[in-house]
Amino acid sequence: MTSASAAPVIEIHELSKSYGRVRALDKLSLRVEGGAVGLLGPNGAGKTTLIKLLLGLLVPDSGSARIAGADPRSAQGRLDLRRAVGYMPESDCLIPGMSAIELVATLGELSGLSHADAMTRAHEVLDYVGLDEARYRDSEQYSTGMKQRLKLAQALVHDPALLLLDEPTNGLDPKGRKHMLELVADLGTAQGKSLLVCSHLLPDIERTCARVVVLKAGHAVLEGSIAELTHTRGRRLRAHFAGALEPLDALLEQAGVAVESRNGNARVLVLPESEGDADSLFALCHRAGVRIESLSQLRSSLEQVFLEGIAREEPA
Amino acid sequence: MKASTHTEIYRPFRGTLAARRSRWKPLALSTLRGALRKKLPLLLFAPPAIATVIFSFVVYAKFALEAGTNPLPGTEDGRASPMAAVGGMAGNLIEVRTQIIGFHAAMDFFVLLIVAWYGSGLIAEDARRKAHLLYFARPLTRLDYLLGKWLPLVLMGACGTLLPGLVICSVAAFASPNWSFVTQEGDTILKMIAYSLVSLVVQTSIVLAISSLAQRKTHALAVSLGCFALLGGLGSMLARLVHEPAWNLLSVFGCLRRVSAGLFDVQRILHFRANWSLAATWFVLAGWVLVAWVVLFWRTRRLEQNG
Amino acid sequence: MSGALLSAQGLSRWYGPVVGVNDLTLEVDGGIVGLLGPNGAGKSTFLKLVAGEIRPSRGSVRVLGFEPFANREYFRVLGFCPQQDALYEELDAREFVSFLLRLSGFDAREARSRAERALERTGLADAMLRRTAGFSKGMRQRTKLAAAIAHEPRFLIVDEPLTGLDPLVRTEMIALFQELGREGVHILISSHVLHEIESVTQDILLLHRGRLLAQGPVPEIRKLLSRYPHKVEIHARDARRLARALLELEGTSTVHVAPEGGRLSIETFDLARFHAELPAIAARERAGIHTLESTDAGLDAVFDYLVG
Repeated sequence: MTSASAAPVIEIHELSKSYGRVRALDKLSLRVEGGAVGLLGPNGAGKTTLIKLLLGLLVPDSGSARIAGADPRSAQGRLDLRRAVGYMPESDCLIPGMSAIELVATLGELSGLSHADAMTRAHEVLDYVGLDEARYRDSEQYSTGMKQRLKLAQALVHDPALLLLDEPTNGLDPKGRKHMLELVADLGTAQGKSLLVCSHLLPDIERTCARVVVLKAGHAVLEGSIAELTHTRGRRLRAHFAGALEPLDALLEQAGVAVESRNGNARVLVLPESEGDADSLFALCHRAGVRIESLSQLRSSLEQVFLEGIAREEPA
Repeated sequence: MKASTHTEIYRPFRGTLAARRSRWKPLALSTLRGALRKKLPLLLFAPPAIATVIFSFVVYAKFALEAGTNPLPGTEDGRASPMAAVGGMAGNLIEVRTQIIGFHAAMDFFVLLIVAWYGSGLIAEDARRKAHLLYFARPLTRLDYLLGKWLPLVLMGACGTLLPGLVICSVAAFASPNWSFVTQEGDTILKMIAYSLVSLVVQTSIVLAISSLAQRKTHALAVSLGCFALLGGLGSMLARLVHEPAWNLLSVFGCLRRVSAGLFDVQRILHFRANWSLAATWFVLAGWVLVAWVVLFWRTRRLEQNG
Repeated sequence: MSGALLSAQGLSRWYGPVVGVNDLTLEVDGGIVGLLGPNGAGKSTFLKLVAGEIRPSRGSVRVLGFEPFANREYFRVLGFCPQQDALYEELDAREFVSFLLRLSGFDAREARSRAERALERTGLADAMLRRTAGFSKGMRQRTKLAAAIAHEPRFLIVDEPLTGLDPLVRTEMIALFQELGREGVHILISSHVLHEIESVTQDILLLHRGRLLAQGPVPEIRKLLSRYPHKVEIHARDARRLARALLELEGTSTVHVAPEGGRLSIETFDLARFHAELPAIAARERAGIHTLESTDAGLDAVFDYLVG
């Protein structure tokens, strides 16, 4: 596995897959080197098809790919790669009549663990996701949150290098969502797994992933690190003030601070290039008797970036 | 002692994953465990078990009577009774072969119940609960998956056909003087095994195929039982109405009885005349099995690829 | 108060011994209101009571002056968009919506034109003649919403409207809710996803174990939680220098300088004072502040503090 960790976990070159006349993937190229990557796209963009290809469930029509060192074009490659891939499906799924521990251990054995290894690993991953005593109960009675955790545990049991998480926070309440996001973030950073996370909830992606890929009509329209994509040029700050703002507005004008937009007590300000920090802004507020409640670098949200990326007709 | 802390919450797996192994084994074991979890349905095995005891005793009694001893030692009074003479004749009338044929014919229905009960949910419930999403994310081929479902089912069915057959044959072997049953009628054992397997393969394949088409276990169960009953009823009705026994080919059980009659070389099974073409019967049964497996592979492919 | 959109007095509903909601007393003025709570908090029960689908076991609820339960008059002004899929698969979207309108008493022509208008508003203009059986999740959600708004209700209840929608559709739906809100329609939205609610409204009702845990605008609720110090994070060039100055400030309970420097977290019991004094301190110390952010002012933090 050491050789596999040096190479990218996913390396896809001009991969295409059609169903009849529908082109689900259209010459998609993609590289995932490690860490967590968000896979975004509107419905029908080809995310599901990509996941199935990454699981070796479909045979690509054309193009080449290496997933965890295996080639999905050969039947043996499609089976081999599944040993290095863990999959957490979107929909509720469980094996009828099994407790969590049996389910995870059985699936571990199917991935190639010995019976004893499977039992040890099953307990470890259930500890990791926080399913305690409930692991001995029939999984059909689980709450949504427990089912999600169970699905994550079974994806981890064989310690795969690559995890495919499809809507991991689907249907969770705020507490459950927070816990799940912590686990996903931990897997991507502390545990050194490669993750491909599909989610419709962009803030979840922002919290867990360093990079995103946006699919549209079967190819990637946007790819890169979230920090870069959401970065906007210039020293623009978004500030929320409190107090009477008229004197401040006058002072800002004198000091050469441009007000780009205003909305109630919020302002988007462009500081002069000579200012390395916002100390003089605080000084102006002090003089005007205005409080600053928050001050942040203006970034576009991932949502804006996503919507703009989707709106673009063709990738440049 | 050296101090250390073990607070890491996730530990990577240091061992290795077996590369090529028959993955159907763990799946089959888990299928079996799942089947045996509920205790009440195990009552389905009671009729074959009871029948096994009765038929075994009859076989034992045959050899005991032939040897002139009382098969019920508790009532023995030490003298050769007139019973012994009658018994000797009776013993000659009873044949192990007919006992086995009779056992299988009488247990037909119960075996179907067992196979249908345990087989109906195997694929239907997987599809309903979307367990296939979990299975096929593993290095598991479609064949592995089907074997993991089918072999346990055959095993369960064997408890109602093959196993009792073997018990009866063993009793016969041990009870017969000088292993005469094995030396003189050894082919009966082989024929019994052959018939059991044919009947199991046919029934389990059809039930499993229906399960793969159904949306839930209860539907599959109803369709399985209905399908066997309807075809059986229709076949024997038409055969009677138009006096053409070949209509019995419609009935799966009819076909199986014809095979049984052919294998053991008898004219009637219980009161059922099995006198139509044996070749056609084999052809029909092979057709059933072939269709069932084509359906199974088609449905499994759908499960694997369509999610 | 008679002007209130919704008022409940000791509202309770049990299912046998199982509690749905227990002794809710509350008053909502109107506008867009988010209904929040962990699983099993009683959100669905509350919505059903407000929608007049079930009768209270005890207590009363009034909406727009009506007793909701089985009240035909009330149903004329109410639009209810349930969480479950509730479409007639064999109908096309326009047939489905106009069928429901016919049931509530509109004549055929009126029903049809209203259905068309509603479906246009929810963005289904191009798909309204297709059978709903083939609809995606987002299209189903929008069909249900069209059915809920087609009779121009004054009060709209939507249960988990955004769950499972892709970001594109989600943005459109949120815009639609805001537009309806501007038109004066009162909306009660339930959701699991806090930032979804935050993007639509500041006013929330928070249920937990069948009880009302909090209500009102999020910042106001945060102010009431005075036993939790307010957390503020500052990025600054000279974090240590700033930390020393801030520690002097009355109300500051903790100052934590990040090990890598450049960032400090402050906890204070007197946020107003902190904000009032900071400009002076910053101007004096010249510690090079880049950003200033309250990290526990949002709905996430409020929810955490209350539900735990």
